[in-house]
Amino acid sequence: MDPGGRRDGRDRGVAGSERVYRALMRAYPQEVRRRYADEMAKYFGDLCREERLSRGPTGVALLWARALPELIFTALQERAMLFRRNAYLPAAPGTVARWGALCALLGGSLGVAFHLIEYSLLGALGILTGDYSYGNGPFARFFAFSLLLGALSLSSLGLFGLYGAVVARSSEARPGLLAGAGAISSAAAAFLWLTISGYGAVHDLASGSVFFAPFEWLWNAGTLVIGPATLFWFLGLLLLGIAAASQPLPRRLRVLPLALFALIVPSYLQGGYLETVGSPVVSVIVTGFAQGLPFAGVAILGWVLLRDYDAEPLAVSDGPVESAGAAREATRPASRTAGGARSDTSGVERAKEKELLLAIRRHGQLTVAGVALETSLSVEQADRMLSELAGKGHLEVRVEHGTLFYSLWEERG
Amino acid sequence: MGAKRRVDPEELLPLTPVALNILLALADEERHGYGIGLEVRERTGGKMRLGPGTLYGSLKRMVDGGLVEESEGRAEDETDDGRGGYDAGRRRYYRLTGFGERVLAAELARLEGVVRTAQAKGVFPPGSPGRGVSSPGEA
Repeated sequence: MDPGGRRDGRDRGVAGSERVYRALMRAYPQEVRRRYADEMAKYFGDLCREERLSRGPTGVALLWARALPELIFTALQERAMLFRRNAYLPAAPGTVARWGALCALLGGSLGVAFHLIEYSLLGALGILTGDYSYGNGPFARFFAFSLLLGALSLSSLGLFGLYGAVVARSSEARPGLLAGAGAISSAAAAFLWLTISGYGAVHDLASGSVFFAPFEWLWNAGTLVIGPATLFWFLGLLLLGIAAASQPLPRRLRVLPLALFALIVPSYLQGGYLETVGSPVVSVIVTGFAQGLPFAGVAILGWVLLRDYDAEPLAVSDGPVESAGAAREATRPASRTAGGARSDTSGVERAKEKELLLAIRRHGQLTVAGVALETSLSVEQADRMLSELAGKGHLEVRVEHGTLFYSLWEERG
Repeated sequence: MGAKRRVDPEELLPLTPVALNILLALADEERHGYGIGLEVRERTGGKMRLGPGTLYGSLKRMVDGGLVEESEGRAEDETDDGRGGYDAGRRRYYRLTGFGERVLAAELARLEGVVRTAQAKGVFPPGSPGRGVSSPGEA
């Protein structure tokens, strides 16, 4: 008889279950884990302990059988709620803006590289030497088409950077009809490009056609996929461009998407005709540049988004700013409106206040440090503004474990 | 913190069975999560077993909605209830807010109205002669 040893074994079993449950809790959004992970794991451990004592291992197995579907269902429920709160984005709009910008930058760069190598370099080399075998081997073709499809997929995903920036700056942290439609269109484009990219790569590798005719099937199915995907992409850019133009974003981000649309659509549509212009060598070089132009536009959009999506559209005369774009915006109005300093300051205050309130609305509740992380405000500025707003009764303040959390009243009713 | 909550308790009705039972569990005293789960299970005769995701998901929404609040924390001595023991001192306690009490009262009043309607129609308590309702044997 070793009751102590048996009990140790039981405790180890319960602790193991608790550890596994804690690991599975990664299915929940970070916000839930941060607030309740310890308690939930502990609660599950208590239930395990109960079952172990009352029904033995069978009870624990039955508990797991109940707990697993419940965990999956409630995790999906929590993620769905988060998704809705983030204006149907998988992460906070600012995060989506950042990742989308990176996708656009990378996708655009890959697209430019593909067109310059494929048309301008290899095409010109073929014409000049009379040897058209440059880059025509099956593996080179497979690599080249993978590059192009990757560029198209990333460029489509990159439009979500613009969507994230629009949502982050919209008055109610809501996308609005235009931006919503633009996001749906961009999602359709991204879905189509990603699907055919994935299917193409797997199909070619599995069937062995990578050795003789890579992506051959794509050209047969091209009219079904390539046209609609391109159309969705352009439509997404147009709709998001119009939505961005009406948001309090930095001027570059309000103007650039529509300017790009006006430039790249005719360029893309006319690209093929350039082959008949001038000498053949000049023609293929110009064609490469022309067809790479949409991707150059996407890369520029990604670059500008990365720099400026979080920049203040108004002057910021004090406190740190998070980007060079914001810094430039900060200095410009100050030097321009020496006599209007007072009105600029109140405008800055209003913009900061709005930024702070939007961040709280997006996250439900935030601490001072959280506000400083999510906005361009410094900790001191965030602390001062939150205290003022709470003191006037505009914000609800709660204390959890000695930490102050600020939230909007109407969001919590 | 001087602003008044503007939400009408009636707007939150009807409550889900889980939310109602959690509010009922907290009606008489503040409890930690395990205490809430235990109270609900015992009160419902084991018919309602709250899993961690359901319990804390509901608690999160109720805390966010201002129906329930976390108490400052109760430093209890570590207890051993003979079931492996648990350290109650590390647990977070929850209690009803004034708003939560009003929501619970409104929901109970709503349910009382439902019961009155059922009584008026003769379908409650079960077995009472119903108006226009007849069992197959009565035909």
